[in-house]
Amino acid sequence: MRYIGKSIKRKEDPAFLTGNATYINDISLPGMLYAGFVRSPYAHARIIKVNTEQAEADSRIVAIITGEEAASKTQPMPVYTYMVAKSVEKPIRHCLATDRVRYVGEAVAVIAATDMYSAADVIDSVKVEYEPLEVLIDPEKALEPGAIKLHDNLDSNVGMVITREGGDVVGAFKEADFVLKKRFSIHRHMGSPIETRGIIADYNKWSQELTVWCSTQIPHILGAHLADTLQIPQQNIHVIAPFVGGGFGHKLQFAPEYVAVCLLAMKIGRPVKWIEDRSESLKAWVHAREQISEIEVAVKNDGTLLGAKVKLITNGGGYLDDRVSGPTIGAAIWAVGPYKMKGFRADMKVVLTNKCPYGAYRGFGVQMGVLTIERCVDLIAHRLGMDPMDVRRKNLVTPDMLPHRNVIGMCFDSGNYPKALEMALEKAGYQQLREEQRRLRKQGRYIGIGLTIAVEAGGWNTYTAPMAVPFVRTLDFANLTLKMDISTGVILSIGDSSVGTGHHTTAAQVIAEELAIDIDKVKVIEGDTAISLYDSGTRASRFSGVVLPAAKLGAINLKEKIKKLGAFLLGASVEDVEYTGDKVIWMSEAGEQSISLKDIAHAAYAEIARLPVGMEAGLESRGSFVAPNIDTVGVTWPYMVHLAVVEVDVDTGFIKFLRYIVVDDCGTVVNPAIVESQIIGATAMCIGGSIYEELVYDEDGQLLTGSFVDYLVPTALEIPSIEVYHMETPAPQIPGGFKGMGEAPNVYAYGAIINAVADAIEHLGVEVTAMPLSPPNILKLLRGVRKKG
Amino acid sequence: MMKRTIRLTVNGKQYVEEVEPRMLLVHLLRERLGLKGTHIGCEDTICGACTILMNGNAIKSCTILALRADGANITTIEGVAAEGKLHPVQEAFWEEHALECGYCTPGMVISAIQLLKRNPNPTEDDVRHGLEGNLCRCTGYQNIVKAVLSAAKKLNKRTKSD
Amino acid sequence: MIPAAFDYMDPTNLSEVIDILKERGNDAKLMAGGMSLLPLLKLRFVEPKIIVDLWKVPGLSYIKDMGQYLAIGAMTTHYEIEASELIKAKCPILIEAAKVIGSPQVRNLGTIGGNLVHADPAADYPPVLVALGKGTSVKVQGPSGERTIPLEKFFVGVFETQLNPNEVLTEIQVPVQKKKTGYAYLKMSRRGSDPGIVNVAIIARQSGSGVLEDMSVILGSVTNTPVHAYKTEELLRGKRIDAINLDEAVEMAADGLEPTSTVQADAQYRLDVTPVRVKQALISSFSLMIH
Repeated sequence: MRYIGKSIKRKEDPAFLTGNATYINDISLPGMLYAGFVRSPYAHARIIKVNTEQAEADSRIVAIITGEEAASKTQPMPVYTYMVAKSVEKPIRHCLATDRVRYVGEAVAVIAATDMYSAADVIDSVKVEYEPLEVLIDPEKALEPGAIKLHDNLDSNVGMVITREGGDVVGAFKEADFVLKKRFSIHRHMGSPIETRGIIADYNKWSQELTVWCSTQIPHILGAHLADTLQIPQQNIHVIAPFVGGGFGHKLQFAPEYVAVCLLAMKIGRPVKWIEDRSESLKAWVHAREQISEIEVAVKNDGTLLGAKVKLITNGGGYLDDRVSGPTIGAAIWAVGPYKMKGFRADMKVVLTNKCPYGAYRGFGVQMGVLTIERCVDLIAHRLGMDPMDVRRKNLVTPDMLPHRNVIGMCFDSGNYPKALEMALEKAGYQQLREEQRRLRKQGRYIGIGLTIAVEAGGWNTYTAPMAVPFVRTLDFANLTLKMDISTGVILSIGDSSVGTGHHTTAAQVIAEELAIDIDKVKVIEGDTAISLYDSGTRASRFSGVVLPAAKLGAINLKEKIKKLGAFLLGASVEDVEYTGDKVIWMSEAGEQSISLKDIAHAAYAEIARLPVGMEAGLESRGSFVAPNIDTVGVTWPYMVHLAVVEVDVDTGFIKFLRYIVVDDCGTVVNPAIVESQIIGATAMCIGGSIYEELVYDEDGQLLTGSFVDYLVPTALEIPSIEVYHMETPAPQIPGGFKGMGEAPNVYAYGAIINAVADAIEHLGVEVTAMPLSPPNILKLLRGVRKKG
Repeated sequence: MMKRTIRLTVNGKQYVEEVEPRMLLVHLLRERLGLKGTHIGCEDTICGACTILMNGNAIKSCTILALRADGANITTIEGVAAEGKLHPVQEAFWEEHALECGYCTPGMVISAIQLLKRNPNPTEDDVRHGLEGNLCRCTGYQNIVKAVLSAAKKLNKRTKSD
Repeated sequence: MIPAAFDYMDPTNLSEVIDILKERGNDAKLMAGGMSLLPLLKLRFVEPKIIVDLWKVPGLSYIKDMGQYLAIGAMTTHYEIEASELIKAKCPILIEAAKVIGSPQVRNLGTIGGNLVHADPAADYPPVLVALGKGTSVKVQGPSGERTIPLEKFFVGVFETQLNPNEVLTEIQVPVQKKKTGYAYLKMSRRGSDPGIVNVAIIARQSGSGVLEDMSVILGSVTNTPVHAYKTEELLRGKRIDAINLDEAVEMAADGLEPTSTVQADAQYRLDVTPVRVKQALISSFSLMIH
């Protein structure tokens, strides 16, 4: 292999390294105006009046749109579910608040100002009169009878109810020797990419064309949503995603702000730019992770996990974000783990409260599922006097069982989960660590070992069609185009976005490998709906498992065409020729004859009369991959083991990482360095989420951690060295054997860290069930039981 | 609010600009001078995406008035690669896969350049401390640290052979 | 992100600064490094009509050896202090504070004068300067001339000092640390060099007979201003190091204090952690004393 499996230096990097890559805030258009949002200072209030008199008199303001106008000109914001939902109540939401605000920072009006500095100055000239209402921030309180209802058209504050059951749950619990019942919670935090949201909208009133530049992961879906919401024909909407400075799922959001900015552009007929401030971002973008999971695990005394029941609550915030069902489902059903359970049931609810709406964040709730079952495994092991690793060994799905449809409908494809577990334990020196732990405990030092093992989904078979209707099963797919030009350079055009995960390099590696050409001859372009086929975007870890196979197939198609034309031009039949990358060779009776790729390309574009009848001119192909038609969540199933060794300082509550080990198998790896960087970065993100980052609200629904001073994204000092070891089991159902892995590394660390901390201190008489594992929280746990002296 | 005229050198080129007092240096660089490589990631002086060199010191250009650049010698990321050839720090970042989305990268490179100028033989701990003012959300810092240590070797080799 | 509009003046001498403050003091804010002021301006937490920038006033940036003490100009940056061979030799505890302020970028611009005048309860210099004891003072200049304020009286409350509205802090005077002084500055942050939650500054000296005579244990960021851990100091003073029960000495470190609660750490956390950090700081300072 010339390129597959090689850590090629990324093609994107020289532009990034020299400050020559274009992000949304780098784009300026003639006549461009700057948008600013008037946002609610209250978490819950009625809007009595929006007074724009002073604002309208200000020459720095070119246009204002309030909720009333927005509601009259747009459809409500969409909501979808990822699986069959028992009921999907739809709180009505327009892009600007109309009669009520339901979270601090909710947009009430938008203005377009002449320049960036004036936009900041004039926001306060829109005067809004509010009548504050009672604030609900706790989802369990929001469920109590008599709690103030956030939406009049709903029966309660339940926004969504989803149920999923598989196998024999009753039987599993009947057979159990005991039932472990636990409650876990993860706190609210978010992805916070270093680049906030941004959009530029430009509307041509006469051609009725809307052009949108947006830091989005989903250019095509964004266009479709805008078409629906703004009631513009979709073919008139052109969406361009420049380089995205980090997405992490947040830039999947179909933001109300995007609609509002487009409305401004349509009203004024001039380009309007909005770049989000960090404080807006922390308050009013999408929040994530805040969930409560109550689990019951049916267990036999020999450590067999028979089944489980999960009750999952997502604190959905003031409205249903269009993707909130995904993490709700992920958090619940992933509590099956990579284990051979007989029965499983999940009852999931999205509860509405006066917090920022809860949306997509890398990992999509799966981290809660992993944490839940893996924490239970450790607890079950303790109860039975077994080593937690033995409980895992006993219950893991084994290679001979693969492909395996588990009790909740996940169809694991390939791999060796027990081997990955053993590798992690071996690399860690597990037995020595246990001895070290015993030795240090005698000295009053507390180290802990925590492990999580899980099978993740790479590519999701849900919500991929442009306007996915609930209750219809769909499959993930990717279509893309390849073009070899007359000089034999190749362009691959994909309708997803560049968010930093090395698509331009990885896809070029696949194309170059397949076509046996130099990688410098391959260019990958992304992000532009006008020059790409529909693609559901950079999301759901689908690039490697769904888009790359399409690219590979597209390259194969192109190669076939080159061979076919080359053969025809040589006078040979296509079965008799060989393609070597720079020529097509025919071992004829008269000896070797060949035609260069350059000559083939020239013929294809400039000597059409020499082409066989019926053959298209040019050298273009299409690549298309559809996920296997299996009723299951994921397209491919990467898996990892994370093992954390920590020391807990019981006097200060600080956690120190002694080691952090990852064993990863994401199928055939195209660029190992890119994969490894993803794994380390995702793990770092989870360390941040487990210990440092917290979106804290007070009783009035005010966000107390509303700046980067208080919202603690970790620096280089907080992140330990992470050791990554690889296994590689190609995915049999995927051309190329690739498995998606963008999110996978983001779901293990929470569980590994909580298990490690629990392993360090639970023997002191505490129970570790809640995140964040911040120093004050750990000290709170220990306060009750610490002995003096 | 009186505007003032300032004179500054950026990446070796001299500029004369009229600015209002509240204009932040990062906006002068980006919007007025068209140097978009310096990025904005927060308004709290925490993320460091806006880091540039002013009179040889790495500073956060979002937290300084443009007026303070009067008479200053500024290097932004666009001025780091000399004559179209990558600086050893940039080379090392590329080789060690020390970037993903690239948004924090200009600030990181500038901070790394200052770090290595002040401490040509840093330990890993020194590097992590030196990059404390630059947040990255994508890479988890590991390859960035590797890149800075690699750049140190490159620069030391270069000095030795001079 | 964008400050409200303001008028700007950058006078070229100190008396001009004082004149402006005398006339327009209520509308004006002084700017030194800008590391505390600009973030407030950008979030529009403050909206002064005038910014009076000190950067062109000569003679405010220096580190001088005055024999018994060091004189540090108010506009000296944290990095200049961090890198000063003179301070390293004569008052090294100051470097322990300077090197953990903010981030490398912030230290290039932030000034010691600005840091002291801002009087953030979590600031790093204040506990260190209080620990250095009598002989630490600040020089300020105002309409009625120059005066010297002993440092231990300087910090009055949250963002509040003894500086009058029309005065400018010009110099900080720190005593030279005597030979074999034990010292430590231990900062505890949730992340990196963020504003500390519990900061401890120690200055300790033994007499010829090995008994602790000078003993300053100063807590920063525990309450509104830096405070002495009086009970701990009492229990340590006059004792030989080898005769000290450290756990007993630090147990009462936070006694009588009403710690603040912040979103980073609640009051109870500060109470719990103060003795631990004081113990660590004492061990660190004693080790310097012995060696």
